[in-house]
Amino acid sequence: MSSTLTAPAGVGPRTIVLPGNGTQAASYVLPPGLLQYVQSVLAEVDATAAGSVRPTLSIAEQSGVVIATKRQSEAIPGGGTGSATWALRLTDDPSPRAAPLFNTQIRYVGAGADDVYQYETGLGSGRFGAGVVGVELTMVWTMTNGKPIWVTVFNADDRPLSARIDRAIVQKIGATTRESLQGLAISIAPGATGTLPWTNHLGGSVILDRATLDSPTPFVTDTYAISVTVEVG
Amino acid sequence: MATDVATSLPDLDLRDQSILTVDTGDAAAIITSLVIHVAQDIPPEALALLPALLTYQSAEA
Repeated sequence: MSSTLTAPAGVGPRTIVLPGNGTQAASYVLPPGLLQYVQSVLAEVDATAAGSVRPTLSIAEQSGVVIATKRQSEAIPGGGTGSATWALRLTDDPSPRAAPLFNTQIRYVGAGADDVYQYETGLGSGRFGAGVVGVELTMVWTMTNGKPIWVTVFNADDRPLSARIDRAIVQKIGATTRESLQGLAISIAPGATGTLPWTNHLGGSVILDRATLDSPTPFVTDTYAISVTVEVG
Repeated sequence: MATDVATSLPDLDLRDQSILTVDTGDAAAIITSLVIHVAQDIPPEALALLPALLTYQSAEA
């Protein structure tokens, strides 16, 4: 004689899928009367009309008191889509990505706040040599209008250093390198901002405009990458 | 271009009716779906019956 045990009525599935409600936040309340051990949370994010984002998971008890928050260490770039996962037994990104020497910003130059587009990232990769620490930042973005952009590299607050921009390359994805910059010195004080000099600049910032890139195709739909290597002496 | 990011989940012993909230931090960055995976969903009432079930012996045994 065999018997089958079935879950009592009211027991939910092991995977709960909720649609978004068109806002920046979504919540799920663990059902009452159940013991549930959360293993993972996955959020799909549409940032096509936004800047880069690092979603945060917050956990609150029934009373509403937040007992933990966890922000993604990497960003979903603005202008794109992506997913953010929080899961048990995942390790956070190892240093130096978790504690970057440099952060970067790429901005459209514009008069109003609405014209500013920022992309912030940590280190894309690192390389280490005798007496020299080299870091490389790679940023990819899609131009959504014809405005020029500028690039700023600044170091983390707790890392006093002087740096030399070894090279900065602007590259159209799928095409040859458009511009490069070699061996220009830059000094960055702790917590300060240093800017990349460029052949075409405005207000001390780097300007990568359509003329500089000499793009034969409409700028508004091209995707470019900037690769910046900084040597720290 | 889709970008997938991941990080560790706080390993907490949560009570029922705890609230999980994901916020992108930007009003223009919209959450299109949220998926939560749980390892167990045994109601306390069922757990309360476990001792009795474990000690139960069928008359046919």
